[in-house]
Amino acid sequence: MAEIILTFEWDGKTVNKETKGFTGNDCVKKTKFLEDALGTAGTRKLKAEYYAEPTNLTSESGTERTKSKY
Amino acid sequence: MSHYVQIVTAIKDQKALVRALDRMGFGKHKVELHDTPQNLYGYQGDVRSQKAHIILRRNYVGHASNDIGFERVNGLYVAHISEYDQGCYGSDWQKRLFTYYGVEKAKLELEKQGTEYVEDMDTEGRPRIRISIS
Repeated sequence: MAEIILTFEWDGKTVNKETKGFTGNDCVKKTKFLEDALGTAGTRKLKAEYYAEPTNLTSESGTERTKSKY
Repeated sequence: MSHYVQIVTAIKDQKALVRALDRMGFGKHKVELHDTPQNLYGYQGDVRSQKAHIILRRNYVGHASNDIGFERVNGLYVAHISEYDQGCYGSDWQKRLFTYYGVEKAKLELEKQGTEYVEDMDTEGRPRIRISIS
């Protein structure tokens, strides 16, 4: 389950957007409409998992599972 | 998978601003909307130098108050609030209004897309919107 959290500062101009649980750069693609609607986005700080690529691993039992590289 | 970004709000959506005014106690019946900017009037009925597209008439603003207006200039709304009314509707009031603008603008965009959200406050008392995407 992915999540978007918008927190609004009481300064009347700053919105903090945090995304969690998206795959690859989906977090940017699927939430950019909010940035565009609200105003101007500043520098994006990517969390470590943004760079993670899903890797397929096969367990001893032969069951395929997915694990992050990191 | 995840990121943080800080967004600087631009006040450009009439509907979101009207919804924010409603949260500040100016319901729809107290708000005039105009396609072309209209005169603002002072407490003695005098025409002021500013015009606005969104107007709170002085009888709703307060005793001896002047009209408050929001004029759309180059796509952005600019507040016209007289020096006298800055006492009640000064910087703190405007910051609160524009914070609610951001909340209402985000909700409007989510509603357009049919996306469900939860509005609450975070532990520091700031408005927050949470959206879960399955």
